[in-house]
Amino acid sequence: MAVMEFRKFLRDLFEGEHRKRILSSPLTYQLVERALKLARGSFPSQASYMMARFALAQTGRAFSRRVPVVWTSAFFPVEIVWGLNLCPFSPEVAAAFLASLGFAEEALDRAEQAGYSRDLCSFHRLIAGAALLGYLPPPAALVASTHLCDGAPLLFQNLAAFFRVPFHVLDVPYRADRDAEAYVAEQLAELWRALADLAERKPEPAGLAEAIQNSNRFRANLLEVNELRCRVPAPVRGSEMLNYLYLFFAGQGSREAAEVFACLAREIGRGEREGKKEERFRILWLHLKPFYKGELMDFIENKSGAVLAFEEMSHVYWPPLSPGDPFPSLARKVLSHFCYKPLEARTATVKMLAEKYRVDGIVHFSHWGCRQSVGGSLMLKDALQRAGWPVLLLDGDCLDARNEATGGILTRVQAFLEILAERKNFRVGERHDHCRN
Amino acid sequence: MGHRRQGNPPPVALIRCRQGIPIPTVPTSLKQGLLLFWVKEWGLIQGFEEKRLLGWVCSYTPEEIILTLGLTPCRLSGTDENQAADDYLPANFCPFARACLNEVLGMSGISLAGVVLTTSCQGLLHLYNALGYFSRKREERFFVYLLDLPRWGSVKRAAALQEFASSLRLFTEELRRYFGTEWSNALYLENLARLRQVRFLLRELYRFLREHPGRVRAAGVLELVRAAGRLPKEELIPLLLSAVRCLEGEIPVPSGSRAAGLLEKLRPRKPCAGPRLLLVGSPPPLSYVDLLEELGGAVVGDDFCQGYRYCLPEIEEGPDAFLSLARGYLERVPCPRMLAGQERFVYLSRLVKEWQVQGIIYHALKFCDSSLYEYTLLRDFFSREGIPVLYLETDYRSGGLEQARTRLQAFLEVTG
Ligand code: SF4
Ligand code: SF4
Repeated sequence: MAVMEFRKFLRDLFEGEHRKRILSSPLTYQLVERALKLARGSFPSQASYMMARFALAQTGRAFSRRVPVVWTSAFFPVEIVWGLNLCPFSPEVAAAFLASLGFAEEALDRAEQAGYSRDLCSFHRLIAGAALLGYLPPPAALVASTHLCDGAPLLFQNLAAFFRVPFHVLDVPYRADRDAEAYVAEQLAELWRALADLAERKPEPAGLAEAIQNSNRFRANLLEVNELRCRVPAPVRGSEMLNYLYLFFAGQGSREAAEVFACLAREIGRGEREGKKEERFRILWLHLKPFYKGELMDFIENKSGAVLAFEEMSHVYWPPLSPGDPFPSLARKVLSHFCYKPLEARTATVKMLAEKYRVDGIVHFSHWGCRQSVGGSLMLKDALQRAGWPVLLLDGDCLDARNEATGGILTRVQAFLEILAERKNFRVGERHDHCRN
Repeated sequence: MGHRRQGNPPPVALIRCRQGIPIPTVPTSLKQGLLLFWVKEWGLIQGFEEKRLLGWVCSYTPEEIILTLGLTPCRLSGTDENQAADDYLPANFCPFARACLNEVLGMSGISLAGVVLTTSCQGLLHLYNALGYFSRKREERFFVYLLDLPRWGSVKRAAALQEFASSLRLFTEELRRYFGTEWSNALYLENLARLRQVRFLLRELYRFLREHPGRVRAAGVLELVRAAGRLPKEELIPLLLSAVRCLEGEIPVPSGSRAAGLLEKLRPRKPCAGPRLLLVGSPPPLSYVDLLEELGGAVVGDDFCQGYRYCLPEIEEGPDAFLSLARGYLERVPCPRMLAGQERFVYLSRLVKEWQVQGIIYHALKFCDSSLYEYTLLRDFFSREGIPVLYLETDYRSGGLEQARTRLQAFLEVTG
């Protein structure tokens, strides 16, 4: 079975009026696992196969009802949940997955009926709709962090009322001084105990230390991958890396997530990942990408001759954690995010990445409902352009295909590439002739 | 976080309290001269010395601190008279933050020495970025400060209190350094009393509104609360006092006085005897509130941060000023951003009962996550309580008024 067939298999499996039952049945995941094994050979790499297997196993576990499921928001330090051996579930990733199967519309409509405005981030609208439709594993608790995203904690508050389960917040100050660190660390310790109580188990420091070590391995392996990605042509495409969303949002602290990146590093190191020969434009990609089946990513990476050399999401911004001092070090991790600081920090990071990965231009994917990323985009663009970088702000939506006017988007990308081409002293049309596809 | 600038502290006006209704005894010595923007808006204060004005936005910003350090707090409420924000903040972004940026960038003849913002939401975080970006580009010395504000509703309260207190201490320290002013405890206590008086008098006005909803214009009350955050308090207090007394019929309206001007602003345009309404959500364009009354709705109060909630903090004179301020502001009924949904609904349902509210108008600003998420919860909560809720969405401008008219009319009919 090829990957494409595997996706079709998934779509067919979940299609139809019994979706809720099928999605929540543990049997489904045994079946999907078998299908996945059959498709193994056609995955672009062993790493991506490992990732799919891991995400699938965790989803099956979440629906099994054998272990308390803790919903975590995108930037919450999920090591806390792994450290208690509970089952973390990232509804944002689940939303991306449902959209990739083509099931976004039903959930988005359901959310709208429930009063969720179309101006809200579609990740969160989709989660709300999918939760109301019963497509997601019921949580024992929800945990959200307040840095970077206002929507997640607000949505989680609503859903905690809907599921009638506890809702915990990690309140993160903006400044990163010692008081702020202590404040966050104290909350993390509190949360760790509260989640242990929920599972009626004693919180074991050894378990947390192990999760922290796994998280450090994840970090080290990702750093290695990132170093190898300096090679030209790019050994891994940005669109593939953005598919590892699950590892970034829900995997840190697990053994498996660390292994996926170790495997990826090996694959690149052994030369199993060959970059495109004709790498005309190297792009640094900011924010996420569309996860539904649309034309944009295919156009950029397969037809236009451009390659996503690196993406903001994969940048390792945090220092190594300390297994002996878990809460303060996790607090430092949270507080060090470059997007939760004055905008100059994001600008400096983007400039550094643009130089490191020797890109020709920078594309900011302006996901409609994202206040954090979109809010600063005009100033970011201005600052980067002043520093000499060509920048494209590409309006779109990660999950809601209805927000995409495909033609318009592609034309804008095309026009941007032409600018890049001019800068490189050749026209994009010439290149198209010998570009594959 | 701030950009430094040195300067001398401006003179500070004094005020003393009597028992009961507070009365200012020592007015400020205001210089005639500079026409400030509230002159345009209110025609009340004739002139004002070139004080160092510090812009502020969120109702968790303690004006007590700003005043004690010899600065004049100047609350921003935004404008759409220019579109200067377009270069900094995208169109699909909080319209209130954009309007505030327009306001600051469009100010001419007014020397705003800086702006303090809070970490309330991405809207204000990016407003902070935009102001910083603007002042750096212009190479202007401008104080831009971001005050950390914990999510009170969701964390351990003792820790949140300490956290906010340290955040206030840092803010004070930065103001002191930047403006070269000193903290004086005596002055702090005076300002505490002064703000207590302002809030008390505004609450009196609100009491009058709910007891006699047809006799005072709700949008006028909101306008007055907005202005209270920028008018010099020592000017405002006697004015408010006269207005309240005149409304209560204790004294006649002194003709040609400032109080008469203010009462004119508060005069209802049309008697409204329709259903009693509570306004909740984000700050609305005031034309919508006028429209509600024009259609007969009796607005009896609101839950806006630029409205009734501004009048609620109760600050005690504790040994640690910052802890007292932190407690006073955080213990006031929380706003939607605080993630204290249940606590808010209990409070709002108490208001509904005590104020005999028959319907709720929920106003959400486009792209404001705090209100957009709260609305769905609130609607479910009040539908269980049997109180109808009408959802209204605007971009903080008066456009769309005519489309809203039919919906409001229909709602009033159902509710009445
Ligand atoms: S895309 Fe933006 S708004 Fe949506 S979940 Fe992510 S950070 Fe939040
Ligand atoms: S309207 Fe909403 S998004 Fe805008 S500043 Fe207020 S709370 Fe923030």
